Amino acid sequence: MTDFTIIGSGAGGSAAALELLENHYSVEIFEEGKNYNHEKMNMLEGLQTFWRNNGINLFFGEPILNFGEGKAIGGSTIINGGVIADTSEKILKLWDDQINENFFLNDEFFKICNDVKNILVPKNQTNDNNIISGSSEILLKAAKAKKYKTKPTNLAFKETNIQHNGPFGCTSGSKNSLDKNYHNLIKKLGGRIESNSKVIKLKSNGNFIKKLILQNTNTKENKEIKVNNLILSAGPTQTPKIILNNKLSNFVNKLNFHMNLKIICYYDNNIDSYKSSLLTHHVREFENDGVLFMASNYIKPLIASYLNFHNSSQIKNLMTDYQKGTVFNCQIQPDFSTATIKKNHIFNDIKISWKLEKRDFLKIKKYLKILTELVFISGAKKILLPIDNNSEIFTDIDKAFKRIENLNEKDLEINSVHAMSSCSMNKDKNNLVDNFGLLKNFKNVYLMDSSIMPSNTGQHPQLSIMAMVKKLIQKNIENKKFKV
Amino acid sequence: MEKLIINQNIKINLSILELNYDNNLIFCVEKFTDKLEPDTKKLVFLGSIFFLLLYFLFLIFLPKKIQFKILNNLPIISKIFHFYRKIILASFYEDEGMNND
Repeated sequence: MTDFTIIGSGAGGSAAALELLENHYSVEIFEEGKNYNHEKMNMLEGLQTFWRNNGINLFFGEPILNFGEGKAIGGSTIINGGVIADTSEKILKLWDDQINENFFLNDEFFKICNDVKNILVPKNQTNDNNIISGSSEILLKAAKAKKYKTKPTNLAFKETNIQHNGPFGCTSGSKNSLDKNYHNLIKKLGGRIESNSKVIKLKSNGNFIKKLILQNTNTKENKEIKVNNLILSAGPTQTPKIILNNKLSNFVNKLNFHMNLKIICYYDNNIDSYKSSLLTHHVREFENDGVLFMASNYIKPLIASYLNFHNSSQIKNLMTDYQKGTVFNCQIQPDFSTATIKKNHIFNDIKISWKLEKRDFLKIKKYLKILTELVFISGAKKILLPIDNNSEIFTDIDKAFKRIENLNEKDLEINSVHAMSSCSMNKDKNNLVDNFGLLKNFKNVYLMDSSIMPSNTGQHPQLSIMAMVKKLIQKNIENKKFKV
Repeated sequence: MEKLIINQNIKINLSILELNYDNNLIFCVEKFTDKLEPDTKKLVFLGSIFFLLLYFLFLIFLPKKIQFKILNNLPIISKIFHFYRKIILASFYEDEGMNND
């Protein structure tokens, strides 16, 4: 029997597997999604192949929030990974307070972060001028004019087919750094990764999970696996779903996430941002408030899909001007709004709902205005705001500001790709996991992914997830906690 | 039955978007809808039935622009209307020959 069975091959599962293998444990990973391949495919095919539910994963509420989540070897990193950002010391300190232990804000954790970076990020990247993208450059210039703080991003492009575009659905290999680096190492060290394997049921005996029933998503055949130690790394929404569906707990914690609001901008000249839309810099002036501005994906079918509220002649005109456009993203960490993951026992399904709190709504309005000002400073001639059921095209800042001022909560078009803390480590007596990642009431079930982060990162979370998991595995080994 | 209803929804949306019927495009949107998870598929199917009922009972003889304005503003029905509209637009402009790399 394998020492460790891991569910999920994303950031958490991969970091756990590599650390365990390096410490001479045997490991097998089961992943619900497909194996990544380098075939070129269009956006809709990418959505159907690598995204959970074709990219439609709704948090019900007003407004409805769409949460994009990966379902492939590499988990959500395959559709969304790539930016390797350090979580701020302020947040790390907060996390240490939340778990009542000096785990995050110390040299050991920073060293582990660097180890992860060394595997994923090319060494000379930030000095490589070729990587500066058109869209990021426009935003950078405007930010400099306002004297806002900006910073280059570390991109996880080591060993990958670098593409500025970072295509939607990852069709050209620019976001498979986890597979190219971590998974190759895992396989070299004898680890096994099996795709198309969906968890159907966990079978327990007292405080131990003894068996796992997996379904092959192609053949629909079930198989039973004996389990020694189980690590759940299925991500911030799927790990709690496995817990609730298998009654490992009757509740999970509130889900934290980032809100993305996108502004589409058009300029006088062709800026060809579709050739280089990947974000290479962040505007970090407001990062202490949990807000980042950045360039966003700009590919033709994606932009067309954003124009659904416009009439057919507006769509034709805007798509004719396609090469003059780009998209900027306002990523906001909500201070009060969270989502709830609950099982409905009548319909036997799990729903995620959320509420946009008034104070977060005011925060959105404030930062939408700041980004709007920035894009007009950058020379944008017309912009489209992230407003539901809105076909207005704004050509001057005053009208755009007025519209933002008159916004209603349910008018907003918000999506998210970063979520965390649905089973958070914390010092609360009712916590789901302890500070070793061990699930309450069980002796061989560990949670090792973004679901156990104490709270919101305010940053792209991949680096912090991987470093946290690596350190948790080390801590378990040092304290001889694993039952192997 | 399900396929027929979804097919009709796509065709109505194409006509409101003033786009020509294109079998390949219709096939892409149908395939996308078919690959949704069962719960979402159920919602899309139910929404599609209501959409068709409403369209054939009240909207069919109105000009396209008015149809668009009404469908845009009807709660719930607008969600299914824009669901198809988004996929159709993505599919149409994908086929226009954009090279992502």
